[in-house]
Amino acid sequence: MEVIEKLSILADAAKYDASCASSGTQLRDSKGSSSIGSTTGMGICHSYAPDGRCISLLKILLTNLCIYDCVYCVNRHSSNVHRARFTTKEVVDLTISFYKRNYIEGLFLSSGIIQNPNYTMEQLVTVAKSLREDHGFRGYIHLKTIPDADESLIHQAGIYADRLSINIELPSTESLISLAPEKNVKSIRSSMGTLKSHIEESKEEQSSKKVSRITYVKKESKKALTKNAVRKTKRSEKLFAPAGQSTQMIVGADSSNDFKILTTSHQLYKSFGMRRVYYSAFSPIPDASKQLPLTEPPLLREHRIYQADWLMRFYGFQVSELVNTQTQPMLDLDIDPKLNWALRNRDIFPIDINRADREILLRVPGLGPRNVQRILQSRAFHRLSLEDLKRMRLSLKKIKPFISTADYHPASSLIDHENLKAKLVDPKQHQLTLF
Amino acid sequence: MTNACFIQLDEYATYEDWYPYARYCLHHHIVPSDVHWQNDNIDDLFCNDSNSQQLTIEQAQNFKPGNSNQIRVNRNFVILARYSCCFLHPDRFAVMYRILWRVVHEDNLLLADITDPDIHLANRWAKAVGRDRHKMKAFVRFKEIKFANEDPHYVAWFEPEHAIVKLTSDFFRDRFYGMDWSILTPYLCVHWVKGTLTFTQGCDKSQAPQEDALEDLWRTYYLNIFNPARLKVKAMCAEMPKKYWHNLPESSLIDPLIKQAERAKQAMIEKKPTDPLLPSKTKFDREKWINSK
Ligand code: SF4
Repeated sequence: MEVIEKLSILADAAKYDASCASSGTQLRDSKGSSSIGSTTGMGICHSYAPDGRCISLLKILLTNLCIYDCVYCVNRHSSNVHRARFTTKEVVDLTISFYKRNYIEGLFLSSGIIQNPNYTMEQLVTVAKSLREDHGFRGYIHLKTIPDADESLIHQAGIYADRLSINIELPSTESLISLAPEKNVKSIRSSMGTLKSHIEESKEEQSSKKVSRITYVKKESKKALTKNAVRKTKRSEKLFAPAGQSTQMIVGADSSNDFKILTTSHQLYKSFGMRRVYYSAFSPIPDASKQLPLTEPPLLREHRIYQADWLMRFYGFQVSELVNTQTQPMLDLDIDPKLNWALRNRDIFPIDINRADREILLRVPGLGPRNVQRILQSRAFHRLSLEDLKRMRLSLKKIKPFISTADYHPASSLIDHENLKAKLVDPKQHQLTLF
Repeated sequence: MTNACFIQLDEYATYEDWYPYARYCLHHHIVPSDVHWQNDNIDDLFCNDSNSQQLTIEQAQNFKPGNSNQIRVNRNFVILARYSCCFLHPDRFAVMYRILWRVVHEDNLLLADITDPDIHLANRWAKAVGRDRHKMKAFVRFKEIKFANEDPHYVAWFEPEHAIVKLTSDFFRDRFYGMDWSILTPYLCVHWVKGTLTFTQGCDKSQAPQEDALEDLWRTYYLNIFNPARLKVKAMCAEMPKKYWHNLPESSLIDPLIKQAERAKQAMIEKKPTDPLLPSKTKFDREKWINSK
């Protein structure tokens, strides 16, 4: 099979993984070397597909023939799709040639399980190792980690990769048992724990300067390096998976509600120091199983969950403030979770823009961390008016009901709930699922 | 007789070109309203104004303030100025000189007052330049030119909105250090060959190679990584504005993909589940494998 045909099958099979991030890793570049590659703080999206998703990495599977049979997955053993398998060299060559043309930031390599977890992990590590050692590649590498694989293999993966991830896929243990029979919750969690401790240890070691000297020097050129260059490479010691670990949960494949999903995420962030939990609306796949809902992917629900996740991580919200088992197990699809919270807690508004603390300002619908920072910064100079807020490009329509400023003091009782909600709901929002 | 002066700069001049003049004027106490920055190649009335002398680049560069007279300016100003001086607006140098003057003579915390009109404007320019730079890093596409017995050379054509080539060339050098490359733009070209960075005059698109053999693979990737069940054209266009499309090899696929998306999604939804072809006995027995380890 030609590489181009394999690529079409193995990219298609990889697209259900939402992550394409290339951010938050150690900064490095190829200065002074004969190789290529660098990383940036924010990552770069080199293209966008018509699904609005960023294309930052070459995201492919090594093979889509998996010996497991996870019901929701297009690559499951019992799926009747075309199968293909890359050689490790083909993946390495594709990555390098795409990178040289500035198409990508690096590679995100995953795979169906081949033979057994160890063999699969070995293959993934071989690719990353070859990129780093044979090509001196300094771009971004994200490797999928196979739970149940030996710790020594996971350790190697972390040496070469920037990020490692294990997808939890389903929010509840029961769903995992019924939909992913070969997977094992305990083993997934224990692998996540292993990653966490490796990541933390490596950071600690580096801060105490005892880190093992890991460098990406092309093997054959090692001898030729001058003393100076050696010192240089030593400074760029690589941490174990410096961009941390991430995971993904499928939304809408099982009956878990948003409360369950957000509670699970909260635990994942807390217990394993996840950098990100990705959510992927369960989407129709070629040759789907009878067991699953074959409908439009719940994109709006996915969007609301991302918003809630964001509020938990950057705005100081607790899960229980956004959803709860009894009265509100699902997020409101009409309005974003922060506005929903504000409407349920009207008595704290209006908030005085010129006096409120950071935590309180973050509760104002329409104000994000960056704008709050700017408000705090500029109110040190003078009391802020609506005009000042407008100059900061804030949407007055959104925030006005919730604030007071030097020149604006709304009646303390807000307009009644439904009315305000109706006013603030974007009429176009419902079309989100129709795009 | 005032010490008013006018300064002639190139249309695409940036911070480095502005700096010697600004330093000269600042040290000679020439107030902002007396400095006429001209960088649009149009004959301005000041050229004929007998009251205002042209400050030449030689004068500006030959002026070296003594150690005791050094004026210290916050590093944040330099960062802001490097960016906003790339914004192709005829007033950029005047505004930045005015800010410099105010920072030195009026308020050294001026930069933090983001509601100040000058600061607001400069920040807006800097932000636009930052965005333009970001898009350049993202959307430059190198095409390989092969030579017999020699390393290949990678060439890209790009049309930045502002004068960002110099400001962004370090990024490309540090990322593609081990290969030879050129980025051609209408106003300035940058080359990294055998470890040296050089700049040459701008050129037109016909100078750049039109194709690369790898583009078919890239298009194949783009085609297949797209999920037709999640069509969100607006989100794509917000991040990848149409004005960049003509230099992206994948852009020819966008319209057909959008047109076919609905049908592709419905086909997946309507397709009847099939019976598995693979015999289930090849399925994995996790317990057994764990025990055998
Ligand atoms: S292990 Fe499950 S989710 Fe992963 S590729 Fe195989 S079938 Fe798909």
